[in-house]
Amino acid sequence: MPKQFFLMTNTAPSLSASYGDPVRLIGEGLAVRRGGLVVAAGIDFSLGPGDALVLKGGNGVGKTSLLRGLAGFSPLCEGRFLAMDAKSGSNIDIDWLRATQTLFLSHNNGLYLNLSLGETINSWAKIAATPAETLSNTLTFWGLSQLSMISVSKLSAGQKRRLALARLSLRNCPLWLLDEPSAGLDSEGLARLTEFATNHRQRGGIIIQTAHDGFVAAGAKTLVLEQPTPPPEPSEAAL
Amino acid sequence: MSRAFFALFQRDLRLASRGHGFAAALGFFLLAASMAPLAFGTDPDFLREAAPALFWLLAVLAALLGLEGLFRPALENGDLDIIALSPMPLSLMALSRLSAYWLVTGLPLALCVFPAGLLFGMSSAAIFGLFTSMVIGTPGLILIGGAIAALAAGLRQAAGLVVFLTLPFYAPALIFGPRAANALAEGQWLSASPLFLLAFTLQALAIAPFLSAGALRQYLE
Repeated sequence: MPKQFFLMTNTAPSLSASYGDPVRLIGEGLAVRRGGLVVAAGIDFSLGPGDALVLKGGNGVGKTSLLRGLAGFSPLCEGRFLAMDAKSGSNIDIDWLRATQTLFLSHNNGLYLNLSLGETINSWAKIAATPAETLSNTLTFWGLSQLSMISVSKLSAGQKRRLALARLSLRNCPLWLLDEPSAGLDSEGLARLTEFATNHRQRGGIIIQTAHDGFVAAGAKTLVLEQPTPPPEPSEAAL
Repeated sequence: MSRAFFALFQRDLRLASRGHGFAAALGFFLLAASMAPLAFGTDPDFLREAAPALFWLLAVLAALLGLEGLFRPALENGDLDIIALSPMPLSLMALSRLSAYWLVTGLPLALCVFPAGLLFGMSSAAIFGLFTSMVIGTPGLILIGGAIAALAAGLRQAAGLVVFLTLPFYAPALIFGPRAANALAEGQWLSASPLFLLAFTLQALAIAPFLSAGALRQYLE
């Protein structure tokens, strides 16, 4: 990519206006199950507008499971997950929050290999009714505007990740759930992601992310998940 | 919402037309139909009589061919996660995908009876009756098969399972389809068989999107 091109497009694509009503998210004693085993338990957090939470821990401690639990894909088996209006303190329906205010970035990006990059992002934009200007700014910001005819199957892992990240600015949602957001990104992509996330939080957005290494939202609260204890061996009596 | 649905439908149409399912279905139907006289013999009267039932049987089998992969990619690549966290209900997403698949597979299958019917020496009225019965009945085939494919979307090696589970539900279409074709050929539009066939499709339309959505939601975990 020419240097000049890079300099011209160095602003985050999202609008500068803040999100609607600021939201506060509260988790109290949350626990999630994976394959019948409780993998993360006793999770507490309280996140206001502009806050970020990073879930850390080794493989298999349940970072992704917890994220999917917060997204409502799998049931949270213990505790309470609440959302409230940060100003008035009134409760917000969590299902409404998930359907209209939440974006989830999964590790496999949500891409169909037999569509082109342009078809993919145009269909997302149409479904989300994104203004054309936002769409073109987004593509430029992530360095994807030259690639719209390329089939997704021909993109590199980093380019696929950029495309998946670009989706986040097509809908105006204050809550982002990001699973390893920087996986596959090069240093320039990482810089874009940092700028993008900072802009999101300045507008009052909230990020909950998992991370091994790579991108971590600046000044984020960190939650280290413990290795789950294996279930006790069934005793003779129980058998 | 309707604009979002239309955008989704457009994308699903594109995905369906690039998948291999419809080519397999149409190829199977035409090839099997043209090979049938090898087994049935060359008595033209018999072939003409047998054609509606044979074509319906072939259509039922052809409809099954590509169904297994209808929802699996969305589940594996995380597209379903995106839809689940959007204002679009999963049932509408299922309806969009099923109707796109019908448009790309079911409707061309029905159109295939024109060349195949000519090959079997059917009269134009008989061909048209058969075509109409297929336009009425194939949406039901795709909807039911698609819902069962959604039930099996997260399972490995599910192709056989989908076929075995789906075929019994296709019995009403096999019973009323050929009879409806004959009735429509004689101009009896409101006789029992076409109406039963229509009921089969409408019933599937009422159930399949919600059944698919419920099944897919289970696999999101």
